[in-house]
Amino acid sequence: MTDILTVLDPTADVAAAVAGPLVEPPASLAGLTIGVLDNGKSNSDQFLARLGDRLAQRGATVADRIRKPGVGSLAPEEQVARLVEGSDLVVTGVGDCAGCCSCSVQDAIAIERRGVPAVLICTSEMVTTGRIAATAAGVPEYPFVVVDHPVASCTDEELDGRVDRALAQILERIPG
Amino acid sequence: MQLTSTPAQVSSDDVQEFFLQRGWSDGLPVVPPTPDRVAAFVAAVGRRPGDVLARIPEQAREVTVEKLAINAVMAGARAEYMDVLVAAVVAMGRPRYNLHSTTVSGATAPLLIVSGPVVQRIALNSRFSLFGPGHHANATIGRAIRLLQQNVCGGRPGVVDKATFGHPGKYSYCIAEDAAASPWEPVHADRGVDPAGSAVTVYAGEAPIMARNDWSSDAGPVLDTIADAMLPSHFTGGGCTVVVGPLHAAAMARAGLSRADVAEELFRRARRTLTSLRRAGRLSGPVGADEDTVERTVVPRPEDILVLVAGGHLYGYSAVVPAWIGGHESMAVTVPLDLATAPDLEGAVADLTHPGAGGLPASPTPGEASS
Repeated sequence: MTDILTVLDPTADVAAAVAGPLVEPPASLAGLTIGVLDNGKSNSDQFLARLGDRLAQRGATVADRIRKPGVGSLAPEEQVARLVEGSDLVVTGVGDCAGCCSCSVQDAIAIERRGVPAVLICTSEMVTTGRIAATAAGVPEYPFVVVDHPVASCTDEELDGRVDRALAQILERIPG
Repeated sequence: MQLTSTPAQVSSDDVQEFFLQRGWSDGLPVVPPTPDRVAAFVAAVGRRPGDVLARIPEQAREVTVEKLAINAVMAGARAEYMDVLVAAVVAMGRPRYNLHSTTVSGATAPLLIVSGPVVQRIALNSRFSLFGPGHHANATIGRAIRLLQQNVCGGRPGVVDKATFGHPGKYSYCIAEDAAASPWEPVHADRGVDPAGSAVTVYAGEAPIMARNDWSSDAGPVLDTIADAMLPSHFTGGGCTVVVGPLHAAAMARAGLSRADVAEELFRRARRTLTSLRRAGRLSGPVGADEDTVERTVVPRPEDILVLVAGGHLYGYSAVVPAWIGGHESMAVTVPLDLATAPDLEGAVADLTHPGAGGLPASPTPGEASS
């Protein structure tokens, strides 16, 4: 015999969605003070240093570089506060694993919720992970800068290619 | 009782497919979580459905009693297991356990170690075929935690959980301590919980490695065998869990070894030289000068080895459960069972200094010692 059952959704509740960007991106890279939040993944320091050099060539100044104490955890409040206090724009990543990508997305959104625009860099294999993290945080359309997976085991040459691709996407959002 | 989860109407013929297609099951049939069943599970711990048991800031999510109850019903658990499940989730929510990263990366499942009088009360298996099937409480408590991880904690396989291999314990990974076979106080006694009470310890564990020594009844060779089985660990710091089989435990008891002595002995024996680690590709970089004399221990300190007694008593086996790859970023956490029904649960969830935080301070770095 067929019965009609009422069953309850076992999944997590999702925060109410915010439409559009949290903070408008700056009009130009020129003159910006940039803070870098390195999530600590292998090669993320190399990637972010090279990206910082490219941004500096466009007139920005990388004023602060911070490495998170744990790749699989959120940035501590004091690190977020320092970046928000001292930066016009925060660049963070590289989310190239499921654990660290979710955390870096939350870090970027937390920084934007405090009024400072952020650039989140993740790899192509982590876009779904990042999208789920952003949706859970109530910003389903939060923009990502996406580079080829992976970054952790890249050669220098591969790394430079990914930096170029990241820069191009940043320039689409913030003109040089 | 006011439940807030979204309801759906589905025919009993279609209900299994309904859960499978949404990615809400582990691939096995589930018990449909009807509001009546879920309400009974919530009521079993005397809590409100919306009580928060754990927060996962890395995912902007929280785990409520209602979501736990839904997943526990689906797993086929009984309402009387809810206090164990609540304690397990509170433990998993402690920052030092690192629920987010251990759920979505590496090759671990939360190993639940239940200890104290509750083991008898709900007939948890602590003996033959310890990690294996056949016992309702072990099977369904572990499965409830698994479904909860998948549905609430980001552990959707292949979607956010990108583990390369995972392991079979991700279906269910729940064991109990055998108090009768143990020469020592309950495992929770050293971890901030009343020895006379019950507790749940959670530990992000890889698949168990069998340490067989059936030929010696002396503690020394048995400890050597167990220490050798610890060597596949990742050498990234953190902890290691050793389930001492009853015959091995008896050998240790005859030698007059306390639990702390056993941990100390295993710590002393479970180590490799840097040369050996590099030659095996376990550490990057070329072999350096004098590295033959520098040893790295499996864990930074003896107290990072969690020792308990369980398993069948006919053969000389112990089991080593290596820790998650992230080392000290996830450590075992013990929570007293009575926290599940305590009036100050919300405070305990928020208060990291509560005795429920359990265990030892996180150990910082991989250990090194000169030989």
